[in-house]
Amino acid sequence: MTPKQALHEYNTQGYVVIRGVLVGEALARVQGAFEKAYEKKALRDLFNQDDAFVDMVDHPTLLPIVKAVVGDDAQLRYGVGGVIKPDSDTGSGWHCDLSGIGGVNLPDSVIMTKLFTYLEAVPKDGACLACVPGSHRFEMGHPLPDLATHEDMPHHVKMVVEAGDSVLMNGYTWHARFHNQSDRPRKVLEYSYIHSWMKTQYDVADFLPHVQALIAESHNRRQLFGVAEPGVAGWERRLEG
Amino acid sequence: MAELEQQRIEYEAQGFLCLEGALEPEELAQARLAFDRAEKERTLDDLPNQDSIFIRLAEQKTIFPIVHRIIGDVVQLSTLSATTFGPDDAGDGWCKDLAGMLGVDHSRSTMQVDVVIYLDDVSASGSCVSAVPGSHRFRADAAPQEMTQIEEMPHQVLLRAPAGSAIVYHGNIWKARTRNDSAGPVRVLVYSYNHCWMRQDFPELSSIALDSIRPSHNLSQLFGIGPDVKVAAGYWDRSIEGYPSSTGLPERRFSELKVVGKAVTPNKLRSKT
Repeated sequence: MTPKQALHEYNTQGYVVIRGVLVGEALARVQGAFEKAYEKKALRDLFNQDDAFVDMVDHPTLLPIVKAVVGDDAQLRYGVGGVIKPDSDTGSGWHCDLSGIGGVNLPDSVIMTKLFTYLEAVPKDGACLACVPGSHRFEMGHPLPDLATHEDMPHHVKMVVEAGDSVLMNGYTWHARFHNQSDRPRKVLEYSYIHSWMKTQYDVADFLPHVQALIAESHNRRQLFGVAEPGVAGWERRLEG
Repeated sequence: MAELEQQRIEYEAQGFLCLEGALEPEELAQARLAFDRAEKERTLDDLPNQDSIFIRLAEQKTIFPIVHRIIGDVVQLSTLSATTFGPDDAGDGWCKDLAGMLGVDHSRSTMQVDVVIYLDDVSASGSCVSAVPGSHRFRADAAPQEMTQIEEMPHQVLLRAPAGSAIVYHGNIWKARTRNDSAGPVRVLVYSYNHCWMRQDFPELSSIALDSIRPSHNLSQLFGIGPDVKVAAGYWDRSIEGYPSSTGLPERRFSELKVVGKAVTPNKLRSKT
């Protein structure tokens, strides 16, 4: 999938599924790092756990798509890992991440985009991410219907994915995470991308020295992690390449 | 309250307001004195650390209620700057401050509000802010026509006003500043406000400045001091106190229901066991 194709899909649907982002050794590397971080209960502190997670921020397949969707001023807001255990009723309910944000005309803006990269397959009865296609264009104030269950949402699409697939989703899209009725855990990386004129949740000084060095080594990483560039305002920053 | 409602209507239609005599005479005198001292010491780029008057003016009693109404409860200060425009200063051509801010439909959003405080009388030909009414709602692809003189812009309004006045304008408005053909310099302060989830750009605040800011909840929010940005309370959820709550302009509606559909259907796995 080219960035142009992904942008078209994202603009029309409010999300885009990118198949086969991680395969073979690359997938195994991230899966291994994820397992270690999970065992250490450090999935909310990914970047200090393994360089593989830093490499995912500017992954050569994903970053061009993030750049096309968010813009040349893309920046990471946070990156975390998550595990949903098998046979658990921990679905999130239908919602919109940006439901309370003021000031922005959300149907025609892209403020925040979430990138999910799955490290295990999610079957149809698993803890699927589901979206309502086109809901990112709903007029503001469009009411969420009063539904009892996830399945009741009209027109929803469940993301049945394989390990190594990614989903990029507009933060204004109506979405839910279904209860996990499968016998498989859901293991996912969740990276949130915003604009460089917004606050990131990271202070790079909080990372381990070698992680700081990894970030400092490229223009794009410095921008993505919100490292200040003297003399350049946040809204003037642009990714290279 | 009625005056604020009238100002809201005016602002939404025009994209700017002119608040004549916004500063109290004493505030104006203090601001001028502090400004001149900072200019003499070449510290105009470090205003928050130069004098507490520059901090207090962030929540000035005539200006701030309007800014808060426009941005909403999540308002914060983005930047604070000061400039003197000497005689024969060439002015600034027509521009939109937010033209480089990507990702936003600016024509129907409010990302930034600028407040220019005149510390000197400003005539039409004396570094006067000029704006095109309603241009804050122009789409991004509507660009000004080619022109060589600031005065050539059709429908522009020159926002001349006496010292102590404040010009409040939408960050997406087409604006310019005229040449300074007056006999003397024109001193201005510019307070830019945005949302607390957006970046700020201040010099590092001194302990003296922090001592002026910290006792006040609202000043702490405006200067971005307080909750850690790693948690939502420091990122999305801050709220100004002591004013009628505002979600900002243009007014937005949000779904009354925030989360739906969490009820649990019989779990297939459990039903198997």
